[in-house]
Amino acid sequence: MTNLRINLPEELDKEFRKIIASKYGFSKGALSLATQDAILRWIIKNGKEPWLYIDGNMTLDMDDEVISTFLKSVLKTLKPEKIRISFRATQGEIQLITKLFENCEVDGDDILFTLENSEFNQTHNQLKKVIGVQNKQSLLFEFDDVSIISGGNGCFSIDGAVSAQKYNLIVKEFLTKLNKEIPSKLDNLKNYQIIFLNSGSTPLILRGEE
Amino acid sequence: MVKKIQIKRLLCHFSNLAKHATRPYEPTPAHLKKRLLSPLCEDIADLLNKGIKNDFQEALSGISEICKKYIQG
Repeated sequence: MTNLRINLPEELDKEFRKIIASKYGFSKGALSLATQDAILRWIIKNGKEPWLYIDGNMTLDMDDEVISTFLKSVLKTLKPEKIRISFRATQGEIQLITKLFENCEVDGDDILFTLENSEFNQTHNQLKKVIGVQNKQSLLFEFDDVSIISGGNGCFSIDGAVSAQKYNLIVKEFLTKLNKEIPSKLDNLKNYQIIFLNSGSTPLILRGEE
Repeated sequence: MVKKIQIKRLLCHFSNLAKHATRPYEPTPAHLKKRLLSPLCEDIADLLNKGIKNDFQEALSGISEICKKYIQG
C-alpha cells in the first residue's frame, strides 16, 4: 500500500465524501476504497486492458496467453459429451482447413467442427497455430447446451444451461490452473468482479454478495 | 436461409454486448467497438444477406428474450 496526496476542488471533495458516506457509512477505510475504485475505473477506461477480468455476470476478458487454460477449465468442469467449434473464415482459410482437417463441415463462409471431449484440445491448438482461431470475432464454442461466444482475443461470454454455482466452479478451476489465490466463499458469490491488471498481480477488486 | 448456428452466434454476441455494457468496470471504447459491437454488426449483416423471414423472426424473438431482464431497469 502507498499514500497518495492530491489537491481537489472543495466542492468535488464534499460530494465525494457525501456519496461515500451514503454508500458505506462512516466506516474506516471507506475513502481509500472509493478512491481505489475511482482510480481503477480510470485506468481501465483509459486504455489499460486488464490481464484478466472475471465478472460474476459470466463475462470474462483475458490475455491471449491464458485462453487455452480457460477453455481447459471449462472442459474439466462441464465435462461435455459433444463440443462444437464454429467460426467464419476467408476462402484461403477454408482451403487450408479442409486440406488439414477431415472432420470439418463447410457451409458458405462458415466452418464447423463437431468433436468428442477427448479431441477438443488438440483440434483447438491446431486451429490456433494454423489460422489464429483465437482472433476470430465469430468464434463460438458449444459445450453440450452451454455456449461460449468470443468477440476475439479473449473476450468471452457464457450463455445457456449454466448456473451461477457452475460458473463459479469454472472460475475456481481457472484460477487454480493459473496458480492464483481463490477468493473465499467464491462458491456462493454473485455480482463480483475479479481483476488482475498484470499477470503477476493479486486481484485488485473483489466485490460480491452471498 | 441461415443455419441455426448463425442465429445462435448473433444472440450470443448481443448477450455479450448487453452483459459488458452493464458491468461496473465497463470496457474501453476500443474494446466495445472491436470485441462487442463489430462482431454483432457482422452477424446482423450476415443475417440480412442470407436470412429468410423465419430467420429474422427467430433472431428478433431471441433478442427480445434477452432484453426482458433489461426492460425493468
